[in-house]
Order: sequence, then C-alpha cells, then structure tokens
Amino acid sequence: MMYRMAYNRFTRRQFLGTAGATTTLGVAGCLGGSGGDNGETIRYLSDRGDSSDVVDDIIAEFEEEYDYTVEVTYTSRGTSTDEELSQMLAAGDPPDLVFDTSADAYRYQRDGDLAPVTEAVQDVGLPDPVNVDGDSYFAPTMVEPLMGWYRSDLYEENPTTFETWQSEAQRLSEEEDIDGFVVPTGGTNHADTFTTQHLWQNDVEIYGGPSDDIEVTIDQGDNRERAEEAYAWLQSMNEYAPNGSGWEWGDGTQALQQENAAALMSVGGLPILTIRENRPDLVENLAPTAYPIPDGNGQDEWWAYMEGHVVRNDGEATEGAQEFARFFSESDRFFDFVLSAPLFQWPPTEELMNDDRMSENEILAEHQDAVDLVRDNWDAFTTVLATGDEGAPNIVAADAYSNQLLGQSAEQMIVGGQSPAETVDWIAEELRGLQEE
Amino acid sequence: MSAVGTLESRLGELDEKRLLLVATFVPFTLFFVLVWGFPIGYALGMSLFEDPTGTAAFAGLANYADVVTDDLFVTALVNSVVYALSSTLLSLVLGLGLALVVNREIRGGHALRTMMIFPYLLPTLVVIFMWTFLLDPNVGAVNEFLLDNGVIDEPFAFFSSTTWAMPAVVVASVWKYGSFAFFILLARLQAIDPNLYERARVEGASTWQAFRDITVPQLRGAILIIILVRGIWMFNKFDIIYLATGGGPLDVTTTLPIMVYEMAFQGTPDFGGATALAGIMFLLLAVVAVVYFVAFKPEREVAT
Repeated sequence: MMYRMAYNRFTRRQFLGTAGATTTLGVAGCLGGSGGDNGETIRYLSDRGDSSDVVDDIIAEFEEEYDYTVEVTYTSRGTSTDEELSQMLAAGDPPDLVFDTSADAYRYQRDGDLAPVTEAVQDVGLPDPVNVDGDSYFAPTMVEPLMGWYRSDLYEENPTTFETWQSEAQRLSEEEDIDGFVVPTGGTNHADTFTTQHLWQNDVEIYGGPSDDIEVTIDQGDNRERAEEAYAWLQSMNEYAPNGSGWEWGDGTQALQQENAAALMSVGGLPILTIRENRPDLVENLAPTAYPIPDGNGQDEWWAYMEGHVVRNDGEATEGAQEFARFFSESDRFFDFVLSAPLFQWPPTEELMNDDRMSENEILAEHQDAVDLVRDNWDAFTTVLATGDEGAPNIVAADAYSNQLLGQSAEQMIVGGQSPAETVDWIAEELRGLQEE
Repeated sequence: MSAVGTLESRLGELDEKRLLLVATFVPFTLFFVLVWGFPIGYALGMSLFEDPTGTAAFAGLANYADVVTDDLFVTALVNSVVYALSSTLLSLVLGLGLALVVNREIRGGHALRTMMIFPYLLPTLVVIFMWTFLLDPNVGAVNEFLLDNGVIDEPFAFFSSTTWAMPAVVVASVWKYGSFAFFILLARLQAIDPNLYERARVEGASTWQAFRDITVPQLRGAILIIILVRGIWMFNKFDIIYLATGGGPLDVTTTLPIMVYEMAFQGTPDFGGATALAGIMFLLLAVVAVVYFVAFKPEREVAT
C-alpha cells in the first residue's frame, strides 16, 4: 500500500510535469519560428544549385558590404522554380528574391507581385525585357539559347533543313540501329520549347497584336497552313524517334548519351555538359546545330531563355533584395557564375560575349563551333515573352509556356493520334481559353 | 477502516484516475488538433475562397462547382478508382499467394519472408528509377526479353503509352506495396489453430475444402481491413504515379491527388480549387469507409 501510494503520487506528478513540458515544447516548436530576423534577412529562391559555390561567394561579398543576410533556398531536384514558389506562397512564406525567366517575371508583374529593379537593369546596362511604364521588373543575368546536337560520325553532314533532317534521320534509323531524332511531347519545358521553335522555323505567327490586345493567330490565314506543315513534319520525324512522351531535358540527353538517338534539340550545351561527365568518349562525335528550317527560310526567331532576378513586393526585405539584384550583376564573380555552366549559360549582352574571359574558358574553347553558332545568331535570339507585335511582351505566351500548352499539343498529335489540322484547332482553342481566364 | 475513510480513499483513487486520464488525453487531443484538425480545417476553409493565399475573396461553393464540372475531374476520378482497386486487389492476391507458400514448411521460406520486406523499405524514388530502367524502351531488360522471345516486334515505352502507362504504374505499385498484405495475412495464417486443419483432414476434407472452409473465413477480417486501408492509401497515392508518369501521357494516369498537385503548384496556381478537390476526396473516402464498415463490419471480424 505504501508502495502504491508512493507510486501514485510520484507517477502522477512526474507524468503531469513531463506531459505539460512536452506539450509546451511541442506547441512552441510548432508555432515557433524562423529566428526573428526583423526584415534584415533576404530570402532568395534559386534553381542554380549547381552553381551554389559561386552564388555563395557573391552572397558572402554582399553580406560583408551591406547590412543584410541572404538566406538562399535552392530548388530540390525535379522541382521547378514555379512549383517551389507556389509551395512557399501557399505556406504564406514568400521569398524576397527569385531567380526566374523573363516570361515568369512578366506574369508576376501582371499579377502585381513584383517590385521594380530599374537601377539594377538600366544603370548597369542590361537588356530590359520586362519594362512596364518605364520601370524594369527583371534583371537578366544570362541567356540560354536552344541548340541541337547531332552525331557527326553518323550524320553525313549537318542537316540544316527540314528535308535533309528527314532523309538523314530515316537513313540512320533504318541502317544504323539508332533513332535518328528525338521528338519530346507533353507538359514539359523540353517539349514546349521544341514545338514552339519548330512552329517558328516555318514562320508561324502564333500570336499577334500589342501587349494589351494579344490575339491568337495560329489558326488564321497562312499561319494555319504553316502550322499544319510544321506539325506534320514533327509527326513524320517521330517515325525515327523513340517515344518521347513526357520527356524533359535530361531524358533527351540520356537518349543521346546511351546512343539510342543520334540527334537531340536541347538548350545550349546542356547535353554536352552531362555527356562530358559520363561519356567523354562520345563528346568528339557530337556537333552543335541550329533548329532545322524549311528550304529557303532563315533563322529569324531563335528561342533563348533569359533568366535573372525578380524582386517580390510581398517579402520582408524588398529593398535589400533590390540591392542584391544590382550587386549580383556588378559583382566581380558574376562572370564566374555565368561560366559555372559554360555552353549552357551565356552572358546577357553581346558586349559581355566578347569579354576576354569568354575566350579564356577551356570548355568554350573546346567547343568553338557552339560559340560561333551563338555569336552568329545573336540577333535572332528572342524570348517567348517577346512575341507580341514588334517584340512586345505577350502575357498569353507567358501563360501558355507556364502551362506548357505547346508541348501538350504535340502530345495530342503524336500520342493522342490527332491530325495536324486537329492539333492546330486544339492548340488555338486552348490558347484562347487562357485569354478568357 | 471506517465507511467515511473507505469512501475518501475511493474518491481519492477516482480523482487520481481522472487526473491521469486528463493528463493523458489533453496533450494528445491538443497534438491531434494542432497536427490534424487545424490543417484540415484550414484547407477546407481555403476551399471556400477565390485566391485564398492572395486577395481571398469569399466564393462559397464555387470552387467545388468548378472542380466537379472540370473535364479532367471525371477522368481523374475514374483513374483513381481503377488504380486504387487494381493495385489493392493485385497486392492482396499476390500477398495471399506468397503468404500461403511461406506459411508452409518450405526450404527458403525464411529468406523469402525477409526478402519480401525489401520493396517496402526502398524509397519510392529508387523503386521508380528501377522500374523505369527495367521498362525503358531502349535499354530495359523487359523490352529486351520480350524482343528476344518474339513477343513484340519493337521496343515498347510502357510509361509513355496510353494503353500501358496505367498497368505499368500498377505493377510497380504492387511490387512495392504488395508485402503489406503479405505480412498481415502471414501473421493471421500463423495464428490459425492447426487442430482445425487436423480435424478437417480426419473428417476427409480435401486441401481445397480446408482452404475454403477454414483458411478463408479465418482470413476474412484481415482481408477486409487490407482492402479498406490499402485501398484508401492507394486512392491517395501520389508519389509513385507522379514520379513514373507525371500523370501522362494525355492524363491517362492523372489521379485525383495528381490533379490536386497540378492545380495547386503547376501553371497558374489555383489553391481554392485544389483545396476544394482535396475536400471532395476526403468526403468520397469518408463515405466509402462508412459504407464499407456498415456493410462488412471488418472490426467485428478482427475482434473475433
């Protein structure tokens, strides 16, 4: 009985104390937080985890010079910046600064989420693709043009036209036991850029009109015929390609690396950077090429991503983020950042393209043909955003890219069995649906 | 001890029990309210607003109406049901078959039992990497085997085919999650009184009759619980499908959880619609669970 009483008294008190303390700690842990930076911490979201060494150095320099701390979140593998940002916003925890594309920047500006970075752009002399009423909302740090890579040991020559690509891809597929081409389809960036660029190659004007009155023109007049031709060409090339439904950049690169495909349209030298690591023996057999054009056409519009910084206006360190965006572009380490992925990332201006550090870079020197391709076509580079009249910002194109509708149109045709004409109808309807939203 | 003393002692014991009960109950209630109740209530609240993380304009049930009238909703619902049913039933059949084998005294039974846990322990990402590699149209072992044996004329992209994407995802899921049913059924099999089989044999029952009249009734409760629990899990399953196909091609593997994710985090985010759809899923599963419990009473089976 004595034992039982002692047990009861001791256990109850101890239990209550422990339970209370645990609960308090648990609740405090759940509610507690970020460490209380009082707005002095700039929260930075970036998908450049591969260049984190350089980014961290630039941040360290910035923190030494300014009274801010930069807390960087690199997107996890397989997660896009859009997805990561959406998750942060859903959690009520927006970043101050985001590394993103110009098309996304324009969408955020449209939604009223951005603070201007005018000084970081106009004072530094950067391109200004998202200028609204004189204010700049996007500070570019690099361009990433699309580019193809083909097996120079298998293809008899650089097949620059629709016609030569088709005959060569057919020959390779039939004679060499390797697919001649890759046709990515579905809701991926790879498929979306691929489809859009092929429409551009056949002079299809998907949109028209000024920024405030964008029209979908892909199914109108001559555009319709040209769009059907471009889709038909993709359909015929798919005969000599693996099933690329849902393929992202990495899937195409893998096909090239594993010698399952003899050519691939990608973004810059992304495939080469991977293949250099995994199959160095293959590198000398790969040559860069432009997207094919029909006989007689020129390289008039060449998709080049423009990526850089946007500053959100709903964070806690907006001014600090604006300072950082400028500091980043002016930093001594900026070029190191661009060259942390040479061939894939290129400087944002032609002037910087001619900088000595470009010619001194070992990887660029090894792939001079790719450098020449970029230099020779610099004036044709454009973003999907600049597809209104006279290159005016096009919000429908930005939304379409965000939803990867063009890539989905290719899937409707290649996987879903629609005809090119039905595909044009489908994409026109989807794009107009975006306008109505 | 006097009557008053006895009463005081009893009241004291009662108070201690009550205090202990309260001390046990309150922290856990708080914990569950915080970890479950609050997020569920918050999500359901969000579903009543347009742009709930931004302007948050009250929209009533408009998000629900938009979701159920979306063309993709019916497709995703059908895909969810097909995926949940087929993967659960196949897991059950596979698990039952293997449990019956391992339950007998066979050579390698222990090794097989140990091996069965491995797929369950592997991270989903690894499982999907393995299966995409196996089914790869160019270097995959499955394609090579089928080609070598003349079953197919050219390599097949299972995860990219509108016909085969769903079956491929179901197979990968069954491979990973089949051991759940296996272990539950094996445990139940080992709890069956061997005298029942002995008696049946004495009375002339065949192996099939013994299985039908002893094993199946004894396993009924476990089977019903597996169907319910595994079915709900698979209905809500996101990672393995998303990693394998991303919901494609052409939405043939887009299930409701993938639709929720796409609405919330891809393209133009629609948190109001996404949370409304999550609410609809919750409601659907709750109705199914209630009907299931009323119709089959699995808890009674387990109790016996």
